[in-house]
Amino acid sequence: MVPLPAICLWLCLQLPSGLLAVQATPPPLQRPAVPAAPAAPLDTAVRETLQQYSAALESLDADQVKKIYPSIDSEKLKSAFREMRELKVAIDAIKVLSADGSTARVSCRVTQTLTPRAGTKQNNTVTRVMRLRRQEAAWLIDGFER
Amino acid sequence: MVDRRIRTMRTAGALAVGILLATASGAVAQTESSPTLSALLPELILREIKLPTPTTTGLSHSAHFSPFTVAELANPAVEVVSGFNKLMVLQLSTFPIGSSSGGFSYAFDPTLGTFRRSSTSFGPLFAERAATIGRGRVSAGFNYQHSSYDRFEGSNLDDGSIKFYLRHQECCTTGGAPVPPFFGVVEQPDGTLLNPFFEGDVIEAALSLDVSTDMVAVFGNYGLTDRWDVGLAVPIVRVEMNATVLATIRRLATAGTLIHTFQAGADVPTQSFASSGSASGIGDIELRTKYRLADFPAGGLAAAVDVRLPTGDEQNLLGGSTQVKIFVVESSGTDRLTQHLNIGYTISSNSSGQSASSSSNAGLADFPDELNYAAGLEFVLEPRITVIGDIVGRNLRGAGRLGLASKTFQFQPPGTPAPPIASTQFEEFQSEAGNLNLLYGTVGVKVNPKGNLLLSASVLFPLTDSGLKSRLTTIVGMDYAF
Repeated sequence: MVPLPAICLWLCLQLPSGLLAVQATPPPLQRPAVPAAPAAPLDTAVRETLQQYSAALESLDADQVKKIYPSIDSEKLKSAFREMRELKVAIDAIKVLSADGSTARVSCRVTQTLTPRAGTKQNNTVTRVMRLRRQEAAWLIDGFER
Repeated sequence: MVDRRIRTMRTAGALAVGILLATASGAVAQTESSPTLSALLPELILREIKLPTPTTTGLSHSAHFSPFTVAELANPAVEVVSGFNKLMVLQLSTFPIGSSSGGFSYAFDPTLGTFRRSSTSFGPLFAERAATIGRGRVSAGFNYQHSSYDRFEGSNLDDGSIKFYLRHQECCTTGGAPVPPFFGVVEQPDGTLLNPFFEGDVIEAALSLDVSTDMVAVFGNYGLTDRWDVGLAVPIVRVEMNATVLATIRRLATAGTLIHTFQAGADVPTQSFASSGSASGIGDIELRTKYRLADFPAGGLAAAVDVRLPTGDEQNLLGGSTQVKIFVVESSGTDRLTQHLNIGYTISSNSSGQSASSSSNAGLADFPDELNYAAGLEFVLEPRITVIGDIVGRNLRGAGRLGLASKTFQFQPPGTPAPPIASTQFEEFQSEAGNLNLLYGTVGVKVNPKGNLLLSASVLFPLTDSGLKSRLTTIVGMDYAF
């Protein structure tokens, strides 16, 4: 698959030079303040991210998890997934604790039911506080505070 | 992945087959001497101890102390020796097989945001824990254990401390002509050991016995569902016995004569008799099942049934009992320290229903019902090492005990006119009704060197003096979850 930066570079090279110049030297504009994300859209976006995270965990695919939680140790996660037959994940009680448009602190309750390949089924429910950061239109998990 | 699994299974299978072949060459019971192992001691003590046959005409005393030879099964020595042998046979034939409760547990890892297999406890050694293997999963392994025995009911087995007293056959009476070659003795029982006087002698048989067993038990477990396991344990057993009896004629009634001697015409009151044998083959195969009823932190509650099939050769102490053990298993604790408790009852079928009143059955044991219990702790020393301590108890219902008792032997001292009846006392085992309580302790370690492989090493030691007491039993094993 061709990486996105390579496509951008190719498109730029295809553009007429004048347009390229316009793009390269935009007129001085007063930089508008980044508007705070409206509460409802942020909440929806966070829920969507957590929903994707939950689905990625359930798929037992470490690469899928890494797309939403890039800093995770994917090798360690792959090793953990190899021991699992099935993982059910439910995330609820989601609260946005703070947000500044590019980052957010979110609290949620994560309930997981593991059916391991060897051993017995186990449940775990834990309240977690995670840091999210905005990347373009999406929110990604940056890490867990607890 | 699948290839790797198949390769691992093939390697484990080849290893198990190799061990089986090395342990049970031929896998068919075979003894090196004529009697079977269950009959080795009765045959040695109750048949082989004979005096020389006289070379001249006259009364032969050769088999007068050999109850089996003269078919005198009412001789008190038969009951004592048979009782000793049966208790020993019972314990050798039903020695516990180690459990296959190895396994892997999981804990929530905050850095991963999900569960990770935390090699907390790897399970007990001789007990079971509530954890099941999981649907469709297979685990296999083996245990090797070596036991040797040094005491029986508190007496040393290997230094002649255990003594049996062979009473003279009640063979004769008096009334014939008091001339050679019979000197008035008539071979006709008269119901007393006081007439003729020489029937008052006894032979003291001091036993020195070395017994050892080696067993490789191969296990397999399969998860029918997440909560229901079925399994199989196939023991391959080798039993070895070396017995020596130092026979000493106690001339209570014939002092100063050579009526009873081990060498005709010479004063030889002692002689050694020996017998040895070994047997190897498949022991009693166990079918196992366990169902997890409830989950607790780091454990749960399970019900289990073990069915022991009489596939072992009873005559050679390789097994022979049909037993159904029903028990409940509880385990709980924390990530680093868990406890387990097993309580159950074993229903046994009697071995053969044959009476022990014939010499050929004197070695066979009736397998009693048992109350079984086990409790222990598993401590996770570090994620790949679990240290385990168990107490394992068996209460053999109505198996009886043998206790040392002072027994009185009456005799007619020689002389004319006949002096008064005299008596002396010797200490000898005597059967006592009751249950036989056996309690063992085990200490061991399970190590996870790689992947789902578990290696274990442990020792099992008796905590009571009851019955046949082993020295340290050493056990090593391997368990792999596929």
